[in-house]
Amino acid sequence: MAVDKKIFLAPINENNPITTQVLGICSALAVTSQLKPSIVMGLAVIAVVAFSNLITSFMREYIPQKVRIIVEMTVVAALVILVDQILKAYAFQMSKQLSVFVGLIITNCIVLGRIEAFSMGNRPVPSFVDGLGNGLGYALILFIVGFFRELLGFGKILGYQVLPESLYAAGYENNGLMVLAPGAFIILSLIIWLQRTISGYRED
Amino acid sequence: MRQGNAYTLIFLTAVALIVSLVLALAAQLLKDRQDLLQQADMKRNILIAAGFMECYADADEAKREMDPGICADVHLYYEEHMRALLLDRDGNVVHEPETVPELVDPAREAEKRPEKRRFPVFLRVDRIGGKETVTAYCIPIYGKGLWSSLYGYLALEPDLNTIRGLTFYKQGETPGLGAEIQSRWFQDGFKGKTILDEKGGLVSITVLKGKVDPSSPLAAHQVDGISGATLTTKGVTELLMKSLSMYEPYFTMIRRGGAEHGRR
Amino acid sequence: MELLNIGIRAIFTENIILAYFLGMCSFLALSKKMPTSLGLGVAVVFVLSITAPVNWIIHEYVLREGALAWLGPQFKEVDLSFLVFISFIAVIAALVQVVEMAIEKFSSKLYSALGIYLPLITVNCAILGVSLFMVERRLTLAETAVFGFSSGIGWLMAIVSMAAIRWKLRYSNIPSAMRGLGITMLVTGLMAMAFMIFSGISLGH
Repeated sequence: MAVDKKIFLAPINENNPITTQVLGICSALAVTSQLKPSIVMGLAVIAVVAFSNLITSFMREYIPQKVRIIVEMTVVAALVILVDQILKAYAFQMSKQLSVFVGLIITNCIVLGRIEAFSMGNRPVPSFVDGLGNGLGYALILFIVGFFRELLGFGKILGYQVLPESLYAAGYENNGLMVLAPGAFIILSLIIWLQRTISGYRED
Repeated sequence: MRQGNAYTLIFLTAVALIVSLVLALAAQLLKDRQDLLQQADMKRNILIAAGFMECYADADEAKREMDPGICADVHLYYEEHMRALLLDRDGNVVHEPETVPELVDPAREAEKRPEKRRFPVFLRVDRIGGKETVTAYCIPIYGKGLWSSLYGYLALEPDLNTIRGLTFYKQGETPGLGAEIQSRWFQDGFKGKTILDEKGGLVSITVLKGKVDPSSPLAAHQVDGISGATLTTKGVTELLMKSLSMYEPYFTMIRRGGAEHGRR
Repeated sequence: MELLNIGIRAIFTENIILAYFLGMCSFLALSKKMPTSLGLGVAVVFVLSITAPVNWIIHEYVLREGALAWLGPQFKEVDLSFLVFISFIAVIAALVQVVEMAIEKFSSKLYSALGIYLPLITVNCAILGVSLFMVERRLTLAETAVFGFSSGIGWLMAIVSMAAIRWKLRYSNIPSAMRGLGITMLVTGLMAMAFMIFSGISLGH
């Protein structure tokens, strides 16, 4: 398959949807107080972005200009509903935790952003790959934020106690702020700083 | 890209039709499995509240879901040990064959007119000395949390005062904070607490901000809070009082020794 | 009293951006200039105040389980709640289109300032989020109206405050990789911390 490797790799680092394109931040922050929901959310978004890119790319020649956004949103909403229904049927406990946030994938700017920026002007297979790459870039950031928030906020990873008892006995306390809203913003800002230092991207 | 208005209309209609079809199909196909999982979840929670912790004794909700082989089929277990009754708002047992007590949605009941509401109660029945005896009364509890509505079960000992167990089976609170109401340590804190004061009045249980002072006279009606989850736990305190008040007519009747336990 | 409580909570203690993280994209992208932020904020208040009650009506009488009973008793079992996402977003998209046309007519300056971000209100997670919360919390129509309006006010307050702060920051010595998104995130974190002080307030309880 002659798909440009860069389409897949770029959004994972230099063109990361969250840190560079500034998309998809909303739902990213709310579920990342623990690692497990972050992972599930990341997987859900990868599925939605990749397949909505694929489907809209197939349709791109036929969509009337005037109703373009509405049609794109319908496709995205339908995919999200499917993901939600599948979660309810196969990962029941997780779906209970993620309820509202799965629905909010519809408004996740990454999905619509990539459709407009890529799949409207490219063929289905590269669009699918672009969706996978962007979804993965997003999931990666979610993973990192979730990892640190759970570690610093609870001393756990995936629910398992990781920080040893001896540390707590010596006076260490879990950082409650990490689990609340401010902690998420601060960790994200530090990740952005790090990522942009590495990739060299600067805003105007 | 074609532009005509007629084409646009046709296109939109086609998209709408295809999408509705696909979604309806998916919803239909998955519905049975979803319902089964939901029912199993509810029954599992009723059993846990009623004291069957030895079977489902895992701290992690996820682990419970992953190890169904540890315990017998939850539906079978449930059939053997639990009897369900339907009550009206005065605590009288009603017989409505078309209403399944386990499927009564507290949220929908709250929207109905008071005389039309139905209140399920689940009795744990054990064989003691050859006789079938009720060893726990389990009621659904429901109310508002911070992000979501909270659904759970509360089980009381036969004295209808001491708490046997508490579970939450549905909540969408913040992971690690409000969501901890689903964790074992929080729910264990309710065991042995009492809901009536010395005069027999209903005081329910209060989730404190911080830890319970054991020397306080109110300690028997209080549990430790979850730091960072004040609003969620406030919701828990309120819903406990509300839910228990709704069953007071029935409980009062039983405490006086008069209510019908019924057989299924 | 309950209505006032809902309103105060939606603006301060449960601010839609600072506590629930919703509506971040346009908040981050557009908070550089005050007039734009103000215009966008007001547009969001307007859209929220209308879409929340409209979506409530649709959910109550069409979508939820048993909602179609008014058509006839045979429809009592029908549960269309799986269509909630699609129908809510359709209502929002339609309303934003109307708002866009209205702004274009009444203030072409604001219209060109907002540019692409006006249609992007459709995908503002805050708008859909408020409707979804309304369903989740089973609010009444009156509560929904107050909730929608106050959430909008909360969003407006946050974006205007952010614009003011960023305006002051523009001559600060920020490390180059932090400029723009990075520092905005950090400031949002600090604002969120500040808003947490409101969580001690409760009215009428």
